[in-house]
Amino acid sequence: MPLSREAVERLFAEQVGRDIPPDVAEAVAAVAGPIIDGLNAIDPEPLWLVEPSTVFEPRYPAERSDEDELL
Amino acid sequence: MSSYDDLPFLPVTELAPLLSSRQVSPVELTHQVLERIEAVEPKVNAYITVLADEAMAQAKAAERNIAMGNYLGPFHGIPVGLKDLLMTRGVRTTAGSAVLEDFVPDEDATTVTRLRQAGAIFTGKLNLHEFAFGVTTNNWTFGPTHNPWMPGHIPGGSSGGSAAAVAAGECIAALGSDTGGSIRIPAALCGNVGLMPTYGRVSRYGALALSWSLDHVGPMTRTVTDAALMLNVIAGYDPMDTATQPVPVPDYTDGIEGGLTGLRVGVPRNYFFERIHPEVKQGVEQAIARLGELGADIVEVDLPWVEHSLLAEFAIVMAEATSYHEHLLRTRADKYAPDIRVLLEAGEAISGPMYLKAQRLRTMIKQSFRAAMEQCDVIATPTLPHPPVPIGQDTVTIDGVEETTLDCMVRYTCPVDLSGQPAIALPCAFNDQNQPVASLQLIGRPFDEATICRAARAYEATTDFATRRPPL
Repeated sequence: MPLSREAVERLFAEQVGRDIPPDVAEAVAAVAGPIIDGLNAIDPEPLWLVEPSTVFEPRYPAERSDEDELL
Repeated sequence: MSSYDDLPFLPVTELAPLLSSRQVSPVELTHQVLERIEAVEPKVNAYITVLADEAMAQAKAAERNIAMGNYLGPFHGIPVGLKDLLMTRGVRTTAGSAVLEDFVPDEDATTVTRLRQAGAIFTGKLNLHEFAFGVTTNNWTFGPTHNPWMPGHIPGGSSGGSAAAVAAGECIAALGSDTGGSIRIPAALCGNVGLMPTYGRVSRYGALALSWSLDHVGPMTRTVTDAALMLNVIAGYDPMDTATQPVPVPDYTDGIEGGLTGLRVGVPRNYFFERIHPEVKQGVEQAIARLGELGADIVEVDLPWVEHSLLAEFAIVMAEATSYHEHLLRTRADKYAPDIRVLLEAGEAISGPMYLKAQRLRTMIKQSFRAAMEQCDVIATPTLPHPPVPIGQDTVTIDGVEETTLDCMVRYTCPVDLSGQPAIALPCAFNDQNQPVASLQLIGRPFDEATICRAARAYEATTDFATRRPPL
């Protein structure tokens, strides 16, 4: 079911803890809805053993040469 | 000293020897750039804040230091513009938003510090899409930046002011930032060069965040070698940015003229040439053919999972940006541009599991690029599917499919933000009206900016695009 303005208003009232103007809620539903639907439509099975990409840690082995090993 | 009247359009590689040998003074150069800013800003609107007095004071100091034999290197005395989300000590830093219209940082971003230490002269703070969350630089608070090649059209974004200023001769080089394409998109639309370094290669400290895990700071220049020179200055480990890594920084100009013989250039079979404007497709295909003529081996590669890039990109950016802006949304929500507020509030609807699914898709996309790069040294794609669109045009239609201008412009760039690899954008086609219509994107292995610079330079050397000027 597509994300509705009412659902966005309820999310803000119950979880975010502040009000959102109806026109903004309508636009939020239009922007976020397709992303949520799109992510839900991707089969999670191939992702079962895949860890999320993490940040702020060395993610790539640095290219090293023999000279580096001597340093 | 000799007299030169077109200094604002010379690249760093030509200006640096003139400055170091005192054939040109930093004062003369800065004066010409400031005159250019005054002349064309009514048409371009690239700057939010022009630092005319400060720049002239820096120029006089540079002139004195060079005369005393204290030449600091290629950026000594070079006028540089800064995207206005890079913090500058004592100078207002707005991120292009009324939310921060009074924000004056008490320290510089690390990249600003490094350029300052290299002797660069700061001409001012450049316009951007508000909080870097968009691709048009149609700024709600500070007005739209116009594409210098075709006023009335977007310069791209979010670093639109940076690209427009370089193209219009309003600075010699600029700093931009890239989260979904914000260096490469405006560079492509404004006919210049944009280099997004590897994630962790250049410090993000002091760059106001859009999305911590995706933000990159990098050079925007007239030529490939200028981008390499600027990367020499700003690259390196920074204890203030935990994402930066202690990987040695080479001289990125070493071997830049080495040519393409033996280099394997991968061309994706999927995704990157789908739903593309015919002029762009033709320009990029001709550029790739040129790489082959120059000695590169062209190989086809597959990039599975890349078709999910837009979903992963927007879920990650929205969730991270909303978290970053939480306190401002609670206290100053009415100060945001309406479209930016919507994007930021939308992040509240991305649940924790949704965010993590996007990050897991990102892992797959990253692995896909790594596998492809076992078959090649560089991947060549179009930077964008479409040439510049008129300011205010919210959608683009290609092959009968309508999409938002935002989706269209980030389609080919955001996969590389997700993979964290370096990428350079450079012009590869102008139309009959002397307007840039296509840009080539070259993607490299992590921390191998040198190879994409070498490949880009080999192609650039066969064109005259870097010497063209917009008709302002």
